[in-house]
Amino acid sequence: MKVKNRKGQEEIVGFIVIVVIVTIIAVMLLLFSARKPVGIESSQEIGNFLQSSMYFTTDCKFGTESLELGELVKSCYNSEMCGEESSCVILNRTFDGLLAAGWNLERYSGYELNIYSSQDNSTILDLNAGQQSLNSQASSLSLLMASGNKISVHLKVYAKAG
Amino acid sequence: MTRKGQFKIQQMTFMIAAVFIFFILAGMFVFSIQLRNLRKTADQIEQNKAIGISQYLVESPEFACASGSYCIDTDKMIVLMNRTAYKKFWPVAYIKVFKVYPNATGACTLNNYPNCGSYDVFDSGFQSTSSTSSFVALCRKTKEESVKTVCELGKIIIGYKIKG
Repeated sequence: MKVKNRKGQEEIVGFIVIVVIVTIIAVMLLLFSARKPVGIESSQEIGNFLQSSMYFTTDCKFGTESLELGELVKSCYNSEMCGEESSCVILNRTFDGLLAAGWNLERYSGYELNIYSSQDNSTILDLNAGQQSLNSQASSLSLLMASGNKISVHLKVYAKAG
Repeated sequence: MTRKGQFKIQQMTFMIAAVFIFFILAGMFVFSIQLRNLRKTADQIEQNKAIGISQYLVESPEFACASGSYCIDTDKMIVLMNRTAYKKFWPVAYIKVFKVYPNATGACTLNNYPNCGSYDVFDSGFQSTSSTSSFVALCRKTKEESVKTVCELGKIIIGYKIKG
């Protein structure tokens, strides 16, 4: 009788061990297959926005010539003036309008724009609006100065949840 | 002894059936997740393809600015609008372009250009079910004190044909 009981107990223990091993393997497989790459995906649309924006004709005039946005970024980095107004003020105003029109906050949760010098990491412009969310996409653009210095324009757009 | 053997076989059969059902359920769960990801990937590929077409169109000589990529010459575009000769040339259902910034309204014609907001460049008449858009610079020549280029931000919308 004792031998029979022990055999029964061994079978139950064996069964439990098998179930636990199978469960662990299944959970590991599930986690592995459901895992998504964490981080920011580069978005073609955001890249297109940045590229196209660089051609935008701004209010900053040198004589009769109006500067394109790409040139205005460099002008702001060099702390130049557009007539009586600072080029950085015009840069801020222009990007503010472009971003608000391009990434409507009724459709998107928010956005962050950072323009900085890659050489000394100094910030040229920081703009953000709306709220951050878990789902975001980003893209960067580099502008080359005559001095060889690089200016990076980085835009991150947050999608609305749901 | 025979009954005990039968009981053992029955017990093993139940065990095998339970394990089998468990694996089937787990497999179905994994399969449904994979299928969902596959559909997402298929949609993404379709969208990327349409974005590729839009970039090809933007860089075609009929639209492109002299200055570079991601730029449409609206002086060319206003002349190109509703040309029937292009009906079979573009592999899309329709092409529309509109100004994003500064904001402007009204369909563009030769009479109100450039004080307008949208260009209906091409429409094949095909009932497309999907579209994609891409940001572009909209540039034109103006003459004030001298001839200069003015660029604004716009979007090109490509309606693409969907099979089936």
